[in-house]
Amino acid sequence: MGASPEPTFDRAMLRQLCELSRLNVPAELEVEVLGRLQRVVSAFQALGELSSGPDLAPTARPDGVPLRPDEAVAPLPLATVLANAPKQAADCFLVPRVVDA
Amino acid sequence: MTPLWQQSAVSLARAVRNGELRAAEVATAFLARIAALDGTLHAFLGVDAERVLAEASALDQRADRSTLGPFAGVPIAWKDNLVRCGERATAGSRMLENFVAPYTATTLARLEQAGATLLGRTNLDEFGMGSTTENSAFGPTHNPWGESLVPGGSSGGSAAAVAADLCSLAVGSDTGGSIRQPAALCGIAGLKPTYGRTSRYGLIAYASSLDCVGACARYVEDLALWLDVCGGNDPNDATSRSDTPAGDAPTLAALQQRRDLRTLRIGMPWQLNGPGLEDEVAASMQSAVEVLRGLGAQVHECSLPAVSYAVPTYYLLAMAEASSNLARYDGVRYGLQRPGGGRIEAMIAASRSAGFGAEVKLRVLLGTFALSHGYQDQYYGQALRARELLRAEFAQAFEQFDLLLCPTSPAPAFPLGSHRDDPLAMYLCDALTVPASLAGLPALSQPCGATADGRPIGMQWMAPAQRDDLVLQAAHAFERHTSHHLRRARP
Repeated sequence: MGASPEPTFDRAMLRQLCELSRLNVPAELEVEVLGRLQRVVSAFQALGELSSGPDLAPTARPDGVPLRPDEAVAPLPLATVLANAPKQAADCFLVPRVVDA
Repeated sequence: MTPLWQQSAVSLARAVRNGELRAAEVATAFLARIAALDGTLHAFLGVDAERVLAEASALDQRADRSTLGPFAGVPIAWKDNLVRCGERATAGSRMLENFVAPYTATTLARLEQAGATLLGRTNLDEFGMGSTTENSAFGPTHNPWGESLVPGGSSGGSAAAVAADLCSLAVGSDTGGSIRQPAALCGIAGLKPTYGRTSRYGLIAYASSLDCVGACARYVEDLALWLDVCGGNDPNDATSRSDTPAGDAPTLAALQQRRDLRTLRIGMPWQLNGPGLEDEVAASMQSAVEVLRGLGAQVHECSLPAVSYAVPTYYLLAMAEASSNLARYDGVRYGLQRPGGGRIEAMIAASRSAGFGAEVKLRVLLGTFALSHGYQDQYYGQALRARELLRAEFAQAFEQFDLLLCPTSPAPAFPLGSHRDDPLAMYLCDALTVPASLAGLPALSQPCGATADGRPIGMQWMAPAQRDDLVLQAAHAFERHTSHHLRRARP
């Protein structure tokens, strides 16, 4: 990262991030959001100084947390699962319509 | 007689078990205080007084009071990102404004079993993202020490509720300091346990490798009892630790045995104890160190060079995890839905854009960027490496010291709105708390002084993983010999 240049956020990049994030940013807010993204990422560049540091294996697993054994367990009974459904029909969760027929 | 709302949770529970107090009497007193004070504080998002009184009265009907649990009749609030069956759980977001939980978080279930009276849901920054509670979709919480001041965040509602004596204890969550920093700004104690010591089951996720369920209270012994009741393995949480100390309230018992700090070696990392601190914070720390030395502790300076990278490391990891965790809010399975002109992708984007606030959207965008093709190793991968470096440095420091100490926040409570347009200034509020979060360590904030105008100042203890007992013992010893925790904002 140390040698990597800082990316420049532009409208095309913002639109790509919005598409990946499933978010809309109104046109009138684009300049403000771009400014915020740039400022934060500029501050993150400090991490690049670690490039010459020790060879550390990255891991997302919190230190010392024991892994639990893989065990196959019986699935939840249907009635228990459906008890959590706000609405149900024919042994299924009923969800709001999201696309027009 | 000391008013009910000024008594510790341990004392209240003892009185209820002994039959000297009724749970309904305690609940009524606290509900009256909430009604009188919370109109201006806005610490709570929801209090179902009828349910509270019904549950407290049901406890009073129990024939054998000696069998009541360790929190019998104690009024406890919970941050509104923990779910309780039949109650709303909003996470401070419009996205979940009308979501009613179909099950109960492990922490709250254990408190119910211990006889606690669960009072209500407290305000927070949306999904835990913020350090002032201004990012709540339902309006900010005000600091009991000054209504124009922030209470800290993201558990600002929980901290303000305890500081104003609206409850004896409040449960919160701490991802990068979200219990400790508001505890410091409100003048109370706040505990972030070892990662995995308390179950995350039923906690609405922000950043799963960092999220911890913790608590804040006026008295350290109440936090020890809370850890004994709520800590311990939970098969419903894959990251829950199974190597938790066994026994009947072992942490509280150990707390009551230690009278001083002799034999304890305390390290003060200079990187967390000088640069960027406000003068009155530094002065309070100096006074606290003199007290600790008087109690027999050996206090020395030490070094943790990697903490210089802690803020970018923390925010990159938290934002990356948040962008993944919050992908579930798609307008189909949870909460708010906005039409998308018949296209599902448009419906999802419209729902998320209407449901999330500005800071959440900014963090999701940044997290998506950090994980995106071409940048993942440069940002997310590098942050994971920095986290390992920090863990290694902590491990080295704990070969020399039993505990590490620093201020909790570089500054005391500041005016509402002062950091609203500057995300970086907001992120730097967490500079002293994120190192322990990244390393998964137990950490506790307690009051250690005040500014000339009365704003509380907090200091933070850190210990090796699973030595939550040590931070509690050190804080309890300090508390016994000082009176900072007894200052009250609202008599």
